[in-house]
Parts: sequence; structure tokens; C-alpha cells
Amino acid sequence: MICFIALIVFGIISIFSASHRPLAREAIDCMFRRITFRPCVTRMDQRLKGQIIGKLLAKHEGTGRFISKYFEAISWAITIITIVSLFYTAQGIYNYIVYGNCNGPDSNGFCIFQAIGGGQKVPTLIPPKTLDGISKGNASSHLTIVEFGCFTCPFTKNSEPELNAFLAKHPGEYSFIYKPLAISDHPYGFEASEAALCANRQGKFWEYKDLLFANQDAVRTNGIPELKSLAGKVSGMDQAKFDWCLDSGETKADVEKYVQEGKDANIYATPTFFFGNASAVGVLNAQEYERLLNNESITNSNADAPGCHIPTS
Amino acid sequence: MLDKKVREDFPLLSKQRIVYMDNACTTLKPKQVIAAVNDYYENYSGCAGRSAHRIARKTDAMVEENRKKVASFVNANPAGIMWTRNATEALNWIAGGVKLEKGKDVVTSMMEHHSVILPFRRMAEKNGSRFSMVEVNRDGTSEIGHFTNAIGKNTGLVVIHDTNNSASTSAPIREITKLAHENGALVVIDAAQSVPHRRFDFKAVGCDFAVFSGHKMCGPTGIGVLVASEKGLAGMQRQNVGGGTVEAVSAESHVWLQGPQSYEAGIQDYAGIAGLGAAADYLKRIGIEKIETHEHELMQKLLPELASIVGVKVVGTTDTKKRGGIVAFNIGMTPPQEAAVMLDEMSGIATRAGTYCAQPAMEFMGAGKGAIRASLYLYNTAEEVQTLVETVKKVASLH
Repeated sequence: MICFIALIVFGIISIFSASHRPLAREAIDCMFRRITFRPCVTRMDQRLKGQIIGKLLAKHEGTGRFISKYFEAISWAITIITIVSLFYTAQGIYNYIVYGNCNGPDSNGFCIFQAIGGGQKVPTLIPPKTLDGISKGNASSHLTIVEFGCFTCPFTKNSEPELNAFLAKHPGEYSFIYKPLAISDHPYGFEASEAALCANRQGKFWEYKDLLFANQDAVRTNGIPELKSLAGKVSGMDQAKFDWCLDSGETKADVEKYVQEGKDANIYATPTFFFGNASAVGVLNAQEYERLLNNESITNSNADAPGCHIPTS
Repeated sequence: MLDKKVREDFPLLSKQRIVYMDNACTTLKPKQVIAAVNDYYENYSGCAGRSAHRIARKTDAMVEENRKKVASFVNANPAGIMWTRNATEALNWIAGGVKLEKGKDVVTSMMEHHSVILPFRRMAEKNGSRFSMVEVNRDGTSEIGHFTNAIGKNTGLVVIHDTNNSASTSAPIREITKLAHENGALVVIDAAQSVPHRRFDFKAVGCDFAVFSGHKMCGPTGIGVLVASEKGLAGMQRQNVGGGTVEAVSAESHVWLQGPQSYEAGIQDYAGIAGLGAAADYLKRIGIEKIETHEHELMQKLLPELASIVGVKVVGTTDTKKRGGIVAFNIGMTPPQEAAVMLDEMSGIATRAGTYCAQPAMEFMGAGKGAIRASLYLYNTAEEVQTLVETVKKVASLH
């Protein structure tokens, strides 16, 4: 097993260091011989074990003895850990290439590639030029709050409780506009936006929106049948009308319009909020909403902001 | 024992924390040898036997002076000293150059180095002769009785070690030579492991050829010696021909030079020859008998202690009177390569692991998978021997 570990370690080091390439080649030969049930003629395995145990014995005899006794088991454990690590690294690279974040489309955890690269720079957010969208609140208020949200985005969903609490705390002080921004690589994200706009045509947007977020996982999994089923749970919704609207794609053009509006505003993740000219991305807490209210943007200089990232392509 | 001051002559010992016990492979080089090599390159790096200018003349004088020095070191005639790259090349020269009578056999022993076995087995195969490896005692020791049946009227050539590199036991080369000559056979002695460690008297042994390497006797790498008797040289064809081997060349024919120089084609390793001459001087000054005694005393301390460690198995005889300064051993089931690396990592002990190009000998002695080999020389000390023993004890305690 030590040959396999050597192969991985020397293989990676030899990408940067030419002097380690002969060792990597030796490890390949050793590994190949091992898997074909032949002895490692260069005795690399014995040499490496000797070096490790020898160094440990020189430093601390007890540790050396322990490692020597369980050397094979420890080698296996390290090998398994190495294989698992390699799997996750490959997955991270794939996610980074496809979604711009190594943790996947719905995550904004720490990404080593972004840290190495200094983060993916994002363009400055531009307040939307239209008041299109589904609105509520005081239409004559001087403050317009705009949210670009995606119904299949967990971050948009998670931002709901704090947002609703904030809105409830400031009745009559704002006009709130929701712009449904479908993220293309989310399963049924586009259809969910279409469905919400169909619900809006019956004046049932807000009720339906709450149901969409409450059943987000089911929507992402089951798609259209789930969207129709949820419509049936909204009191006063004409199911046949809703189904017809959704099936015939009546709101498709509207959804595309919001997607384009999101692009024009340089939206790179949902949810994104505009309080007048002040902006913020991601799940916010009460203090951050208060800062926005005071016209203070919560800026993110790179794409590490917590939110569902919109694919760049 | 030798004065520890001798260690000051070896720059590597003062620069590194090392217990050097791989002397059967190659020895460390004293500053006198390094100075002689540098002196050649810095002050007179000309070619010998060709040009007439002053540095060429000095090079020529150095080469011939060292030929005499080396001849004196092994009590041979300078006219029979030829420079080679190493003992292996010298053996190949003999195997390729000596004409074996049709039907005559080649005899050697089980205790030989691959550099003996392979050239002479090929020689026998080419000649359609039998190549026999005499079985000696399983502990690596041998007596003339082992060879009396093998060497007879059908024997054309006997090639045998003086001291072997696995058990450091010695073959009875004088009796073997006498027996071989009585049967009209030539005798080649592999003296690579004896010339650096004890008195080797070419004339007294009476053999036809002997070979040894410079780097095993404090000399530089890349220089070896083929010693030939007058009769041996007369019957050996040149293996390498070209510049420096002829008196005259015409479009139709050529006239060979006479003497050892006619076997040394092309420009030689003059720096190596200078270094080897300095090494011979150095060992002579220390005293080869003193070196032999020193190694023997160290072995008397080392061998019993090693053999007494639980799990340690010594390869070959444990009788220190019957062996030189080499001891091969295994530590429990630890593979020798692994154990040797541990010795290095733990205490900086440099040893060799494996079968040391003597696989048949190691298999014959029951160590076919190899062993660790510690080989001593003049700069090793009793403290170093103790360090080796203590470190081996720690490795043995892993089992």
C-alpha cells in the first residue's frame, strides 16, 4: 500500500519538481508490479518503510514500535483516506469549472480554488431599471425594495424568515417588488417561476410562493406534477386555469424577461436585494437589513457571497 | 587498534554524521588521494606516452612510477601491471583474451562474485567447455579438499576469490594455484576484497593473473588493476586495441607494442592512476598488516555481539579467525533493504543490503533473499561497532 501512497504523493510533487519524477516513475512501476502480484524489484516499498520506521525509532522508540506493528493497517487507512480525498477534490474541481464554486451550485462554503485565485471577481450590481415584478406594501412609499429570488434556491428560501420579520417590523415604509429569477441549472427552476407567475395571474402569487419555498425539495425532485399539486392547495385557485397556463407556457416570456433583467443588473447569485441604490447578496440577518435601510450596501468584492450562483455561460 | 587520528585523513567523516560500513562496496577517500587527483588536473593534465612537452612527460613519469608502486604493493613485476577501469573489466579482459584449449574446463567456486561467474561462464560456453562451480562448506569456508576432485588434467583455467565479498572467507589460493599448475591450468585470483585489507603477494601465490579495484582501497573510482605473470601476459590477447597499443601501423599491417602499455588502448584515467598511486602510498604508510589486525579486532568485538542478539542471523561462519572484515546478517523477518535503511535513518550507519552481486554464494549459504552487509576498514572504531550493535538491537526488538 505504501507504493500507492508514494505514487500519489510523488505524482503530485513531480508536477512541480522534476527531481521527484524518477521517484514517481519508480512508484508507478512498484504499484504496477504490486497489482500484478509481483515483488517490487526496486524495493521502494521496503526503502520507504525503513525510512519511516527508522526516523520514528530515532525520535521516539514507542511510536516507532507502534507504527511498525500496524504499518500495513495504517497504510491501508491512509490509502482509503487518499482515495476519498481524491474523489472529493475531483468533485470540487468539477463543481468549480461548472458552477464557479467547488461546493456545488447551492453552496457558498469555503472554496480553496477561489482562495488560491483570490476569488472570482464580480461586476458591480446595478439597480433594476423597471418596477416590473410582483409587488406589495406601500406603493407610494419613497423606498422601493426589490428582491431577485429563485424558487428553487435554498438561499432564497432561507432568507425568507428574516426578510419577512424585517418587512413586518417596518409596515408602510416600503414598496416590495419580487422579481422571480430562474437559475438555469436548477432542476425545475424555470418551471417554478412560470408557475408562480401563473399563480400571480389569479392574484395568488404570495400564497403560492410560500408553498413553493415550503416544498422546495419536492419541487426540485418531482417538477411539474408537484407545481400543479401545490396550486391545488391554494385557496381560491382555479386549478384548470393554472394547469392550462403552465402547460401552454403562457408566462414563459415573462420568466425570460426577468432573467434578462437579472443579467442587466449584473445579478450573479440569489437572493439579491436592492433597497433603493443599496444592494446585498445572500441570506441577511436583521442588522444587515437595517444597514440596507440606511442606504448602506453590503458589498462582496467577489463571488464568495452566500447565495445560489448563476452560471456564467 | 589503529589510532583514531587516521579518521582526520577522510574529509567525509568530518563533514557528515556517518558510520561508514559499506567498505566492501567502496571505501572513503583520504585527502592525500583527493590531493593527488586534484594535482593531476590542476598542474600537469597531459597525456602519457605520446606528446613530448613537459606536462606530458610528467604525466608519463607519474603513470610509470605508479605502475611500479602498485606492483610493489602486491609484489609483482611492473611489466605485468595493466590499468583497467576496475576489477570487473580486468576479469573480462582475461576471459576474453586467454585462449582456452579445446575441451579444457573452467573451474570456480560457489562463493564468487558475478564479475567472476559471468565472464568466465561465457568464456566456457564460447569454447564448448564445462564451467563448474565447486561447492565449499555452507558457512563459506573452504579447504583444498573441496577442489582436488574438480581440478584435474581437463582443467584449463581456475578462477577463484582470495577473499569473497559475502562471508569474507578466504579460499586456499596457494594450494589451489599449485594444484592447478600441476595440471597445466592457468589461475586467476579475484583479489578485490583482499588487496585493500591484507598482504597480497602475487609472486608468492604464484598465480597467472590477479585483479583488484582502486576504489576499494581508498583510491578513486574508475581505476582498476590487472596483474599478470610473464606467462599469463604472453598468452593473453589484447581486448582493446587502438591508439597507444601499436608501434607502427601501415595500410597493410601493424606492429604491436610490447609490455603492459600495449593493452591500454586510448587515453587512460591518469587522474585515477595518480590517485591509486597515492592510495597505495597511504596504505603502505599506515601498514597493511596493521589494517588487517585492526579489522580483525573490530570483528572479534562485532561478530559475537551481533550473533547474540535475539532474531539476528549471521550469514556464513561465526569463527572470526576464518573471516575478514565483512559480516552479513539478517534481523528477524525484516527485509534487508528495509533494515539497512533503518540503520541509516536511526544512527547514520551506511551498510549494503541485498546479495551484493554474489547471488549463488548467498543462496548457497541460505540467504538467497539477501542480507545486510557491514564491512569494516581502517577508519572504523570500536565505538562505531557498538553503535551498530545497539541499533541492530533496537531493530530486532520490533519483532
